[in-house]
Amino acid sequence: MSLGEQNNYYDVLDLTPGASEKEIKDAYLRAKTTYNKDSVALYTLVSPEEREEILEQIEEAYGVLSNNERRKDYDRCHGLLVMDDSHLNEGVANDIVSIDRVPPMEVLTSEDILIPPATDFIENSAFSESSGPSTRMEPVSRESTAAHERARTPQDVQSSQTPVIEPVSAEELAREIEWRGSLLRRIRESRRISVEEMSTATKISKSYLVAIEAENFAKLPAAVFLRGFVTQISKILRLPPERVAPAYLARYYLSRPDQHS
Amino acid sequence: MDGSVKKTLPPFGDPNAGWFPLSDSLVSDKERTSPDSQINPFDLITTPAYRHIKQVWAIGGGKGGIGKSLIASSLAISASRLGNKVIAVDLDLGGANLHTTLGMDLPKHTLSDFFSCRVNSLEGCVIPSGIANLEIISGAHDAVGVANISVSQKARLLEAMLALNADYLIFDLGAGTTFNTVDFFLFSDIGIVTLLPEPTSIENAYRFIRSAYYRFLRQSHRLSEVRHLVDMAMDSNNPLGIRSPSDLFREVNKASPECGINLKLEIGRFRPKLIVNQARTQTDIDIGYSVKTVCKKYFGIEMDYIGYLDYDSAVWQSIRRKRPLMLEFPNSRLVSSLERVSHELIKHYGHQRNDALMGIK
Repeated sequence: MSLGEQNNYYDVLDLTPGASEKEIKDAYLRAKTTYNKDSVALYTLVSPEEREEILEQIEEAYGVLSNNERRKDYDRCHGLLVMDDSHLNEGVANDIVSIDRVPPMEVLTSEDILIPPATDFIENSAFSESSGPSTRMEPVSRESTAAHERARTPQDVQSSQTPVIEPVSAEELAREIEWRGSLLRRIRESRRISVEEMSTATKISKSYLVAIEAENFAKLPAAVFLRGFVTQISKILRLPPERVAPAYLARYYLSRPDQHS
Repeated sequence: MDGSVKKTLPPFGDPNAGWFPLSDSLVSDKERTSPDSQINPFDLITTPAYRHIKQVWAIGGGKGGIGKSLIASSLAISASRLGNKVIAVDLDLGGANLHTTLGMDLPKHTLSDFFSCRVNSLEGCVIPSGIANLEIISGAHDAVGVANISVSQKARLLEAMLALNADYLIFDLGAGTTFNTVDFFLFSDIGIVTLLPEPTSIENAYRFIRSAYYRFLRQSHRLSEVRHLVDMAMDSNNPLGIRSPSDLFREVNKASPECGINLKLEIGRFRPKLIVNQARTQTDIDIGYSVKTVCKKYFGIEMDYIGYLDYDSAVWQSIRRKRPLMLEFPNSRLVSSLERVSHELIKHYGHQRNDALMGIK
């Protein structure tokens, strides 16, 4: 949000339309801290009236974006990127062929659905050192580090920053029919959501989450619970649950005849 | 940048009347007739044919006592330890003490000798710091009035600095928002603003960012058509009621939508980095994020919050011993966070200097 232009709710919270629920919540808390009555960061730049006004916008934006239904409506009205799954449901009934094969989604033109959220590099590295700060300086000889630094081009440097997580493209997703645990894991990682965060967001224990991603069916609970888990995970990952859950459950039924539906 | 500088006169009155009072004792008659602020010092610089300088960093922040010299000297030591040839330049003209934070005695040759032509070239002022790969151009021993260098002297200095034989130049800027300080800040590839988590420092940091921001826009060739509007925005008592960057954006758009687009582009190029110094609590650390958010809202700029430094009593101890903090307390938490910040800077923002970006031909 900048320079007094008309902002949408995402701009108000400094988010992109693909933001996850957690990102929205974090952004809201950050904005509330920034525009808090006692925030020194406003000193001389933002007047009390402006502060009130901005806070109102923040509340309004969060009120809509934190509610899935209202957010969908808002996105649709404003022509923002959405996983529009309403039309997908219509197709499912006609084309369904078998229990473990659900038809692919239409190819979505918007490619940025699964691009991980932009983060300042510092959030990953420099700020993550609340304990034991001096460990990061490896005892490498200065000369070799220096020569190494120089030899690298900026591109090299950038690409070597974060472990390469292969992003999942929209087409790949649209064609996806199996929704294996490994894919769910890849998507989760590409969105930079840790197992812990996923566990907090879904209230599913970490061991179940790991088992779901590893497709360790023996360790998983009864189908009725598992369906709920997979649905929850899909929602957090902004995937269509009505496609992910049946596909995933189909494999579960195959390996657990006792759980026949 | 097409290189042709349009000298468009604003459509009303005398554009310079009352905007920039000049009390500059060293300004020549020629310059007096054309006010200092009106000349873009970067226009006067010719880039040397062959250069070593990879990047220029500047550390500023408006208020005094917020750690500019400490951070500058620490970044310099840290960059030199990575094998880069570094020259730290004390541009706190009239208040120089970078040499003290580096633990050096009073240097023989300083910038004053360069300005008064007592040395033949700037190389004569470059003196070893006693630390491998690190040299310093000091501002100590200053003649009274050295703080008030003229725009031609400033251009001569910048030009000479570009010709120096080093990988990194690190500018330690003075407090305040004089044109000289701001111009040195804008000359850098990486401009770092430091602040303390307290109202006085934040007030001055905003004032500093504001001065640099408007001066940056003022010097943009793309915005020469609406320069009078930028001039107006610099004084909040202007007739059009331009009080904030968003007011300026509105007026510029009114004058010419094309310039409105250019204004946005130019604003996008202004990306100062932020360091919060003397952080004691998590709230202090969060102030950096809040300042970043507020700056985006108010100025429309993307600031990079590159790190915070802990409050550490090692600092005053090392200053009393007149020894660089980096060498005196190498294992302190503060030193490791300083090292981390400089490593990140080199890793993420290190690139070949591109003068075309700065409006220098």
